[in-house]
Amino acid sequence: MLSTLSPSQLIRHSVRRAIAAFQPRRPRGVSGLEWAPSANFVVHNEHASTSISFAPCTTSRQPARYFWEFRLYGRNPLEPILVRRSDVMDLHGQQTIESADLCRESGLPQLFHYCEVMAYSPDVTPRGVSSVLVSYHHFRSTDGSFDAHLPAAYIWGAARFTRTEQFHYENFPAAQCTADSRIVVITLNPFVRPVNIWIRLVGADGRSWEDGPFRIAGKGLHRWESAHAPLDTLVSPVGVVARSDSKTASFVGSIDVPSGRMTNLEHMHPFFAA
Amino acid sequence: MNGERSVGKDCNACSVSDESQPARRNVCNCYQITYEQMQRIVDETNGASFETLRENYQVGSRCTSCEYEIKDMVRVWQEEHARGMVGMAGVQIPLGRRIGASWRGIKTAIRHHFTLRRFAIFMIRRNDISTSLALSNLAFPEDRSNVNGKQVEFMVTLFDVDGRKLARRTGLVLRDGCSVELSLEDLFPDVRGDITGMMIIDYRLLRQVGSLRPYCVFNFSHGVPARPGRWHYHDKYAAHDYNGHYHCNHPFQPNQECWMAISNPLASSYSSAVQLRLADGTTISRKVDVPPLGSMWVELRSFFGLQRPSEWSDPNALIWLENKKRLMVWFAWKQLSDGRWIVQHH
Repeated sequence: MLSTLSPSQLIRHSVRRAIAAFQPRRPRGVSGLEWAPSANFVVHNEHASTSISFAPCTTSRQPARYFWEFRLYGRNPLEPILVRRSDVMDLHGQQTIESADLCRESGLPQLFHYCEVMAYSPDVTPRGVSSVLVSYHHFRSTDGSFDAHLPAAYIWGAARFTRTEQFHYENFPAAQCTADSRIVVITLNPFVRPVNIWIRLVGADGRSWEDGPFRIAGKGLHRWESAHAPLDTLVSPVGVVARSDSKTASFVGSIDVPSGRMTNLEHMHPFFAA
Repeated sequence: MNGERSVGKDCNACSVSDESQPARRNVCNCYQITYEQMQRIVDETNGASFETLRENYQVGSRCTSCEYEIKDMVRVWQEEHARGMVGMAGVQIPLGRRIGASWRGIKTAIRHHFTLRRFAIFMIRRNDISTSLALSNLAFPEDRSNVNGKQVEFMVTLFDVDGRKLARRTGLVLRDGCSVELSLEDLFPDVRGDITGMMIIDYRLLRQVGSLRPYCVFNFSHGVPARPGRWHYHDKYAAHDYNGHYHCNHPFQPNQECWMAISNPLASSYSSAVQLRLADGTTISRKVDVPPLGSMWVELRSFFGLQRPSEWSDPNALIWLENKKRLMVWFAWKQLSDGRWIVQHH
């Protein structure tokens, strides 16, 4: 093979081999990574429902046995109010939970609750930098006017360089905040301890306005609306920033003010450090 | 999901079976630092702060999830040593680590000064839908000023489905603290008519991406002209092959069409089998070929040739692409009754 290399390639190849010779070897077949859970929320009431789907092929290519465990949390962050464990799944299997079933099994009249999915395989460890087998939530309104299809939020194990200092931040660009359109931010607290969050709106001209703090209980969630924002001073499109004192995950949606209906729902991202 | 269910007190928040636990126990998964190694690092640095360890050892600098564990380890080390000693030696970072941190900083600065930061995103304009580019240039809130300066310069290049360059807009500027939404008409006034393809956004001299990750807004009309619908979707932030499958859970929803958008950001073509697995185990396979810098926009029921309503309304269908080569895939659903859309990445 070496004979096919150009002199510069040969030099690069030799340098890489020399560097590799001094690096510690990891035992074969052990990546060291562990499967990590992901967070999301469930809505179920007379106007909306949720389907939660999980397919191992989302972040894996390894034929193996896969399982997932769904946990629904209420007021007690230490003890889920409902846990469902899956049967064994193959790489290209998929299983779905309906919020109507969760509502019935938990005995609650309606759901707007934090939930987690711990998906894992006893046979294989994650490969690559992402160690989360993500579930997807499909939110829909019963009258058919609204649908959203969102991946669960990473608590750990994301393949990205996020920037964090004293506080953690997530942002969303170019949202509409007008007399006819209101912003909604839903924030999840994946920790057992409570966290504080602040919501900042930054107008297209750079003027900003912040609301908060709001306290979110452990394994809980918070819904914020821009009803009290000084809309006349904020020029759309608006940048939305969620600040929190621990790592949280936020989703941004819009409400059509005349009809009172939610029209979209999407996820925020951290500030990227790279 | 027919597996075990439990309600209330028999729930165990850590009920993953023992055999699933890996041989190593990491503190920092991203850089593969075990508890033992982290303990040695805390020892050799005399209990340096998390911020110092992040700078010199990179721990906690990527996904940041280990921040609290490391801070706890440092605090425990400091408390234990404070109890046992009259005075503690100051923080010490080995010379090699300091040189390493400086070298990383230099490499990053050089790379950011001499290379464009490139992002790519699918775009479309048809009778009822059109995409616009959405950008926010917000300073990191705890910085005194924006690390990218008073403004960022960028250019946008438009490619069609076959990967042909249609137009380029250079010299675009976004000031610090500002957000902007640019329609295709704003960006490329000379490009007219229906178009499907990809935009490549190149930033100049970007020190940090921060909030500048490009999004597109998918604008659509749905019978209320005064209030057109809109949905955001973003680029795929990856420069490497994917370790999973590009896929879509439950693509088929009642009374909706599901569309798949693909953009190939590479200079080589992408070919793959696209598999559809239905709830009864039936698998249907089709092939896609996307030229270099090309795109695709297909309705999935027609693409797979599904004839029976039981197939195209299967709530547990799953679609995936076999080839893991770098690609960008989004899925869009159209409500047939009123023309509303939603768009999400895979």
